[in-house]
Amino acid sequence: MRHELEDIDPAWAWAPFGPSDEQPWDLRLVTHLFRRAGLAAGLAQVDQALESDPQAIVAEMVERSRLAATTDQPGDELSRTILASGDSRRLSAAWLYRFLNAPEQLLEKMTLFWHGHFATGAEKVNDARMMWDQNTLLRKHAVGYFPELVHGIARDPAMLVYLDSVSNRKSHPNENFARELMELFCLGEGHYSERDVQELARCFTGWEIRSRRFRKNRYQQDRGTKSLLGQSGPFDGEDGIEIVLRQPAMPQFICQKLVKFLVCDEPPLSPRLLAPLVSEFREQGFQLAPLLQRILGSNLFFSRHSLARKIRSPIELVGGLLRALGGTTNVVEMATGLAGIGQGLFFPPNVKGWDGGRDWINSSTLLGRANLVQRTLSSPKTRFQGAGLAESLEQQGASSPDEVVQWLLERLLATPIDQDQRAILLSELTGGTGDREQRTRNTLHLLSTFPEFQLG
Amino acid sequence: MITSMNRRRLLKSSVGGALALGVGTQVPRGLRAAASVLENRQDSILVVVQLSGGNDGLNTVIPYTDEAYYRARPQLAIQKSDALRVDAETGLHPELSGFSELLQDGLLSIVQGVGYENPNRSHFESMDIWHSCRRKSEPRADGWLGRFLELAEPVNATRSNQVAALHLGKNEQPLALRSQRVQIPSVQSVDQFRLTGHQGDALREWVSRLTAPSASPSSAAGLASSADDLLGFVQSSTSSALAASEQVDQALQDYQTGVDYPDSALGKQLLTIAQLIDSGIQARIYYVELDGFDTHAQQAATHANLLRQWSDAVTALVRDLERHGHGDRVCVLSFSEFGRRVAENASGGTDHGAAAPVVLAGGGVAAGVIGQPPNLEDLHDGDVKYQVDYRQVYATLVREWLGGDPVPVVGQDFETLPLFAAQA
Amino acid sequence: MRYNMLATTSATTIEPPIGQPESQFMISTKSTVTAVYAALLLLGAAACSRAATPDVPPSAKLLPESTVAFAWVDSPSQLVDLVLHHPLRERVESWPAYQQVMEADGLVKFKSGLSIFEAGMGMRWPKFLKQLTEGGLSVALDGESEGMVALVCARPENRAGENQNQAGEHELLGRLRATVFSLVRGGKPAGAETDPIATEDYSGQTVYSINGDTHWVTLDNWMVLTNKIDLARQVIDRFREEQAACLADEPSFLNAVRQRPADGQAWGYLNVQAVRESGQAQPLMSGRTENVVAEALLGGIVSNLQHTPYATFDLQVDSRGIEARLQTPHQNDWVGEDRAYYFGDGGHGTAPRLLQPERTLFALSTYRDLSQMWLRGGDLMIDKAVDELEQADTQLTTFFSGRDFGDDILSGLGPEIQFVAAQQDFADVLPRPAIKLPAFAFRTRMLTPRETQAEFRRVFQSLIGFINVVGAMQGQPQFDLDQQPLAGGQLIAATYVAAPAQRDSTSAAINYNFSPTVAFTDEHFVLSSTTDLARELATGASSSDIVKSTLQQLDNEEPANSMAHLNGSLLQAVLKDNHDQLIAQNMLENGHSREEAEGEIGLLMDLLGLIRDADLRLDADASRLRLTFRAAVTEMNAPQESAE
Repeated sequence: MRHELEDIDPAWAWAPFGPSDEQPWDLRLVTHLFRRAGLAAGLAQVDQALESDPQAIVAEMVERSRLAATTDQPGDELSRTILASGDSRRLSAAWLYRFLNAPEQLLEKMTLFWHGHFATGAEKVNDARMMWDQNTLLRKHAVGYFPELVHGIARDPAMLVYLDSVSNRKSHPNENFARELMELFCLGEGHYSERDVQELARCFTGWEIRSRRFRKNRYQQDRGTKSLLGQSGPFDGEDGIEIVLRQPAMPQFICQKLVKFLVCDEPPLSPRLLAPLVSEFREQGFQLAPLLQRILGSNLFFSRHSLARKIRSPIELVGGLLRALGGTTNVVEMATGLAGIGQGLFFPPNVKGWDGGRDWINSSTLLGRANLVQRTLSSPKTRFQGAGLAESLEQQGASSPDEVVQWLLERLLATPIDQDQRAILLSELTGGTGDREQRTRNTLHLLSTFPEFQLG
Repeated sequence: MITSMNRRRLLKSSVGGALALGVGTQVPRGLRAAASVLENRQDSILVVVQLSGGNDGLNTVIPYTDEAYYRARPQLAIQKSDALRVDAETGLHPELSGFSELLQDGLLSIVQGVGYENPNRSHFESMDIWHSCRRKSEPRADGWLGRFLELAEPVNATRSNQVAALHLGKNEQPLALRSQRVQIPSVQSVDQFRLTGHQGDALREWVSRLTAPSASPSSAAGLASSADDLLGFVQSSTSSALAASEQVDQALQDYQTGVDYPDSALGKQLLTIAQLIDSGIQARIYYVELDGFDTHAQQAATHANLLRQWSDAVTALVRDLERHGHGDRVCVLSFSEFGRRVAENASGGTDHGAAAPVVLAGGGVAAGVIGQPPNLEDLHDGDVKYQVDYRQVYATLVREWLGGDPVPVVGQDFETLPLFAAQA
Repeated sequence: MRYNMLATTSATTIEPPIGQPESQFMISTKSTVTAVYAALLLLGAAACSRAATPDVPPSAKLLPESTVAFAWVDSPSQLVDLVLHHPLRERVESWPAYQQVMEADGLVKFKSGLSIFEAGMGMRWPKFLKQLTEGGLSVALDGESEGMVALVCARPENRAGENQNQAGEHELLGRLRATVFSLVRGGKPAGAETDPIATEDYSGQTVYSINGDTHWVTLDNWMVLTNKIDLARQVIDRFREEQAACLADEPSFLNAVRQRPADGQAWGYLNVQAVRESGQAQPLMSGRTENVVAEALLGGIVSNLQHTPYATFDLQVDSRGIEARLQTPHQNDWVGEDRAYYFGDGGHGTAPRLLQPERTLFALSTYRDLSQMWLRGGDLMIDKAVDELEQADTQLTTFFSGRDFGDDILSGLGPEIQFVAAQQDFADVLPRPAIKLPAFAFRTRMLTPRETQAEFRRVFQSLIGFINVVGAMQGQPQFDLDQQPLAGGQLIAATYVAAPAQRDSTSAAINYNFSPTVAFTDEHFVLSSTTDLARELATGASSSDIVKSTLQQLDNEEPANSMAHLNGSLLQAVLKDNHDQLIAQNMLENGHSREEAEGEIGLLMDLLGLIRDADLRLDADASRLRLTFRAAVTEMNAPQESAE
């Protein structure tokens, strides 16, 4: 597999995709795009998308997300109300609710990406409002200007509390944030030295959090000369960040991570293959919107190297299932359930965020995934377009058992299953226990236990 | 250490189609592999019972010949006539009758005076020290058990999809289990190891097909197909997860304890652990907590009933495991973040202290008391001085029981203690 | 109940049996409407209290002596009439939620089913119901066969002179049976499958069995429905021979009937002794619990149920509301010493009057000697709970700076306990919390005021200090302590010091609902969540007229062991204060859109708006124990705020 990817022409890989006879613009590609650029296509979106063309759709979703990022959205009101309880777990549910219902799916998906990138855990921060403010910051710049996002995060109270960096005195520069800025946020290991960490930490002296707010304490600022990544001068924090952002490793590091998130889990793309993307990012002045548009509209994205080449994260698994079926449920329970299988929103496992890929899977999480789907489907709060699943599918034109199975497979799976598996689904739907609604839900649960269902 | 029981169990699970649990590329194939695994102590299990709040060590293991004990505790001291005799100078609290019997049967070991230098009397801080083996000035990204599990699963090995350890309970996961690489589930019930809900024929059929050795090409071929293939990886993981679920289901259905577990939260958790161990789940570490030991006031009755809950539950577990042939491969460690002050306070209670005994139970331990009764004439700021560093206990457990290198786990080299009966 | 039965019958018979989605997954508006109807059924009223002397219900003569539970509705059609003609009906029908529900799928189906049924019967259902149940509706549970039976007594036909056993079937009942059976047989082609209805002859009567589990007999103007064929036979036996032993001969039943109020619309009887002897409800009868709160609330009732021969229930409905009573024979010596805390010495313990500060949402007064209960815990609870109590004692004693919670703290307090919750007025208050909770307070008498006051004051101060220390570590705002003299006492108030950023906030943290306060007067101790409420209770400041008027009525009644009062419009007001929170919670927990959530919360508000207030009281005297529940509907002329 790896060598095949290496044979690909980089120019072709990132060139805009146009449908052809071998790769027609069909249900498979439409659901692929919406799964990656969000949780899943809503019921109405699929038909609309089939009528349109991929480049137009991608351009529109990027543009709409960019606009939505800077205006007050309905989800903000819900979150503000929930904040009154001061409970980060309820805030987690509020974000999930927003994620499931947001018309601009790409914006939420990218906010989730940055949440994992600039991972901050509510357990340690212990202040729901700070977590919400950080989430707002991430969303505001999620498809915006990357350097601005980094500058914002460097003075974000939740981040600094999480990294034990609420105070940074010149006599004891705190290296924690400086290290993560280079290792996890911008450059990756191997692109800086221990000395750079110490010098960058000196730049941030005097940056502190008091009464939950960022401030600069000029008495604690080290005004001496620093030599950082080959440059020297009396740099302050902003200068330090700019120097890090101007490193050649930065666009490479960000593109690599974005491609892993949006295109395929593995193998990692070679620098050669990434090169056109990296130079595009640089040429666009590190604006994210054109980069995303390029990735999501590319030949590589719609190729077999991307289709079904990702393991679904828990939220993609359950949230995607609900969105694709027009489902609603008790999101408080769902948020708890997601945390139980490794993806609590606002509760990343550690400072590195979610590794994704094969790390999502072990015996415990696999059973947990199946059980969470089962719990969700058996909850009386779970409705599909306000009705039962069977009734809702019927409205979509899927009435006979064959049609129902076909519909579910087309909308929910990224990769085909074999005839035996299909026969098992059919026999559950027609000969299983319970009434028709129950059997339909059981069939869906059965489908969710198939390995193919784990791929998105 | 290889009992015939053990060998039989292993034979059964690796040959009899139930391969499943260890499935994947890591399953030792054939007898030879199984035997070598055993010799490397890969099947020994540690159950940790954390007594939260600071258990009063002096009223747990009683220095009943020490006048100073009776002087310091006019109200709370356990009278010589009430203590369950262990040896000429040591007795157990009367509620620890289970432990007393385990001791007589050679299944219990008590380490006196376990603690550390410059004891900290904050619950949180002292508990963090016990969990991480690190003082406050050092970073505490992981815990001692987490580090052990990382070492047990080498970075370059093909990913195991097994659960390495389990935390049972509703509380936040203990720092001791935290690791940078190994994810440890916290579970509240064994249901989290079973495929719940509708267990229709279709599902059963599909599970058996997927786990059958001669499965159809598209799915089970994935078992053998390249590890590079995501679908193949998910297929093999799914098949082992479903097989594990079946296995746990089966084990729970068939499980007969024959032992009376107390009707308490701890009793239920330990019964679950016994069932999981017997089902063949390969977790090496189980972690549970019993809270309430912070007895600043009216200690006598409360402490007695906490000790009873602890002793009855642990004793039931040890007896149950013995009956099921796992006695020799499971060790139960009980510890608390600190003991309590030697002198009782004016409210009929005791305040935060320092060193206290640690208790190990199970078929493999060297029964008896290790170390001297606390010297109550030579105190450190009113507290019992420590004789044994807690990390020495950990180091012995890692080296002698779990089979690993203790240095990276506890941070330095310690001489091992004679905790286990048949040490190599 | 009749209504529901019809609903099920038609639902199962009218829909084509195959190929239709059968199950309806949680459509909460539907269940809400059922609730509305149930509420209306109960609340609905018409002034037709008939002053008849209590008689043995005629159906009791048809039931076997082994009947364990018996319920009788004198005239179900009257109750339905009340609903249909109640002045509130118009208001309910004007709710958007109501109209939405009436157009919902299920109800449309139900309505069409009903019209098919009416066509079959040849009359509208209210008239039919009236004729069918004119002689009353009884439901009974038989201990021997473990079967349920319903007996409906239709209006007798004017067929004088005929021998009732030989006569042709009652015309209305015959028609009903024919209609129902044809619906049960449904669209199935005749002979295609086995007939779902089987018949059996017993003592000259035909027993029809539907699907083998429902048995139907018509005996003159009686219609008998049961799930056990044995029970059907028992009823037939008693119909034929009046000498057979029947429920109406049971002495305890007759005792119960003698105390039946003349004007009740529904009445029920439970043979507690039989239940006890059958070994059912063992955990309840053993009398030991693991739940402290349950013990404090119900312990005394459990003592009674361990001895009492029977219990009765009666319901009265009028246009203003409902009153329901549960009564059992009682004797003081049934209550063991261990539960003396509950009824007081000689059973004379009475609750103090209900507290009534302004905006009283809920008030509870009771007689409970908590210190005695705490010390007797070992006899009252199961072992596990006793262990937990001991641990709690240790924790609480630590909390109370070493004073033993049971011995030193509780023993200083008298057994008269008053609890009250009141809506808080945040109109002029800053910071104003986003979640607005009612204030609540606890008041009791001090047995030794001088010692207790000193003790409690100190404990309260150290408690606040402790909260400040812990709060500081968690970044919570800090309390400021203040002492103020009161007439004949003292008040110690803790107030949150608002952080500068929160000072003018109108969506402040939940903390700002609280200003924990203790107040001491001559002999009373008040612990309150807010200073204002504490001061009001300690000084006896005036209470609002509305609350007073309903409470005065309670005050005029005889003293009771326990009394509780809930004000419906204030409950509605408190929920309205938190409207946004309720909407957000509904959205998250039901996955609803904002519009759906607003609809559902609106309906909840409307429903609460129907209830003016509700009361519950428990009284015990030398011969009986009685639990009374009363609920009053809002008066139509009272100004109503409508929930938006």
